[in-house]
Amino acid sequence: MSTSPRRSIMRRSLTLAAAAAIALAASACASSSSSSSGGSAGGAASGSAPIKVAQITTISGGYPFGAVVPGTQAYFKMINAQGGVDGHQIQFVYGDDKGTASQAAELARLYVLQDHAVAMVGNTSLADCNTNASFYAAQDIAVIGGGTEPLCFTQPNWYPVNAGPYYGKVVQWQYTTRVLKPTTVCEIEQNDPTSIPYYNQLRTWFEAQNPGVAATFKEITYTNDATQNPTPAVAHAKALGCDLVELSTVAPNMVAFINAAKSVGLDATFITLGSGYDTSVPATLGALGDPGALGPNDKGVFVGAELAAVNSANPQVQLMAKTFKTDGVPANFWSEIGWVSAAMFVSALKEGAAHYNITTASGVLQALRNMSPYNSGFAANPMQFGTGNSHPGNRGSQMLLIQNGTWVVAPDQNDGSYEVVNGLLPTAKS
Amino acid sequence: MVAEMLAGLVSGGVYAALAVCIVLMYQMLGVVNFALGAMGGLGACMSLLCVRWFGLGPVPSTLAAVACGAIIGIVLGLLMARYFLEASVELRTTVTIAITVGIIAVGDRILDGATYSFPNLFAGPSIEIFGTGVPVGSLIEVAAALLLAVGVQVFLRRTHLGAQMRAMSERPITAGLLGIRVRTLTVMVWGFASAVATIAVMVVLPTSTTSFPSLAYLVVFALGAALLGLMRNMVIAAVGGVLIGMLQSIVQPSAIGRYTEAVPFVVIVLVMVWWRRRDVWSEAR
Repeated sequence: MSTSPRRSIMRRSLTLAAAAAIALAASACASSSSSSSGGSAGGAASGSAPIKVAQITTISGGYPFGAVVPGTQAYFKMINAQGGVDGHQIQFVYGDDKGTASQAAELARLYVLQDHAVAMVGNTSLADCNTNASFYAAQDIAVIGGGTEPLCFTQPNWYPVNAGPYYGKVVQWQYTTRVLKPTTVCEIEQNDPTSIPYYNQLRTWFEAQNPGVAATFKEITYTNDATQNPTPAVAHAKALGCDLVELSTVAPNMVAFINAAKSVGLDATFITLGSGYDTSVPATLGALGDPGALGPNDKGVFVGAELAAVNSANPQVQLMAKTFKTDGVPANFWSEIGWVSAAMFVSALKEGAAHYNITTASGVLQALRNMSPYNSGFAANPMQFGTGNSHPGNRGSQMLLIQNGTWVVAPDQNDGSYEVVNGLLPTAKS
Repeated sequence: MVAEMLAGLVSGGVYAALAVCIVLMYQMLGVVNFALGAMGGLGACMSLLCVRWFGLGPVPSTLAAVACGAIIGIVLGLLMARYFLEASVELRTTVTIAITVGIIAVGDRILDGATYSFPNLFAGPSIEIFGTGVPVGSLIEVAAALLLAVGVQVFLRRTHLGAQMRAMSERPITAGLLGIRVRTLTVMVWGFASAVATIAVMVVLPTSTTSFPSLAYLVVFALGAALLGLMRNMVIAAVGGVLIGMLQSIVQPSAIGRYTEAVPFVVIVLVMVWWRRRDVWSEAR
């Protein structure tokens, strides 16, 4: 008996629908871009429940924060190889939010509500702080990571391990005006409308604290240097007669700016925030990175590394450098954020394991809130999550300078090998 | 303003070269190639791999990159000729968008956020014009783009091969029946455009962020220049590319700098309004 045409069509339609459903399910599993690592497959030493930890980072679609992930993974892998925290292996997953609020929200809910992550470690995202603040508070989820927006520094559940663009910028201004003493400063900033108002507020505050400084600041240019060639901004700085250019950009762009400066004949010192720190920069710039390469006004290429330089003699930094080399992790500001975030997290959990259930979100949050100050070896001040409604985190940077093809600690910093902001910055006006 | 305008020659040269290739591909192959910037970027990345893996110097790695760029174009041309030769312009153009996404995924793996020293045959020398240094490489690129536009148009009009290409663009099936090697010519145009795009991107790389999507994005501004030439006139497209680069350069450091990327759109709208003004006014009367 032959099958009727209608049944044939129905069967074909059902097959197609099933195939589509399978494809959709497969793509949904892939679209969160999540991946797990951290040694859970290695088997817990004692069979204790793992500590499930997640990370939301902007890996694509914006700045190159992607190295945060292997930095975090490297630390957790090391800890798991040592038996975990109090016998608990750390199970780590991460996702790329692509810099979008919708993706950040989706990932947070996926990890916390579905995967039962008890904390977020290493988050470095353009969208996470603004999008998920109330969600983390409601779910008792603690976050330790790289702060990129003002809100990362003003939430009760968020601890930024870096100085961030605001403490970092004030540090940069302090060092510039006290040590470099430029005649005319041009700032070339990121075109980020959400951060400009607070930046302007801090500038006004800093100029009021330091009479005479305002006169040296010639102009602020805003650029989207992720897509725009820096040559026009640099040519403009030359036309204005600037002998120092302050940047707020990542390492590849900083190299582009300095190359552009050479091509247009701008004779100036360059200084950028910690996001410009990467161990590959001196080799890439070559002789162009040395003081005087651009002209007599060029005192060198400086960066305010918010975490210690990778070639620091500190044993904790050296441990990181050695581990990164073994694991093939690139050594830059972002991988350091991942490592230090994980290190601070583990330190708090080791201390709190005897008092709290560190396999639950509330237990982890309590352990962090009650942790002792943690000397990471990377920062200007000890790190301590604490119970406050905001956590300014790291309040200093290590000013570095390129000399003879490598980063060296710059001279005359106000706290030994760090430049520190004494006290707290004014809070952002709403 | 003069300094900023001259600084725009850096980007303008790239836009001009890419715009010429976009018009060429549209006229000859009936495709608006959104992947051209990505193809050039991927070819340029090959120079980095040549230095990293084989230790080649600037000249051989540059030549190798251009060759790789041409091969990338040839491979894509073969695919297009095999599967989409008789497809509509819209479908072929859509395919190039898919190609762009794929190439960006590959390019992102090569440029992983670190800094790289690309071989640069035009590094260093600049000429002072009105007190601003203008890279020699950019001046050469602008001149080369204009010469390319003129040269290609002369080639298409005055040579036998050019006539074949024009025939292919008008009536590909008829041309094929008359013995014109349509697929071979298609592949040649893809390879040529990709090689030119590779050279264009390599000139601007030292002052570009090494974020691969930003290299692929260059085609957006070049498309604006191509539209200025109404996707027909390569010389106007090349001049348009230079003008867009210079205009963006003036706007970027100004108070409206955050709208720099809208410059090509504004220019196109103004040109279109001016070009259609007689029709509009006649209708109004």
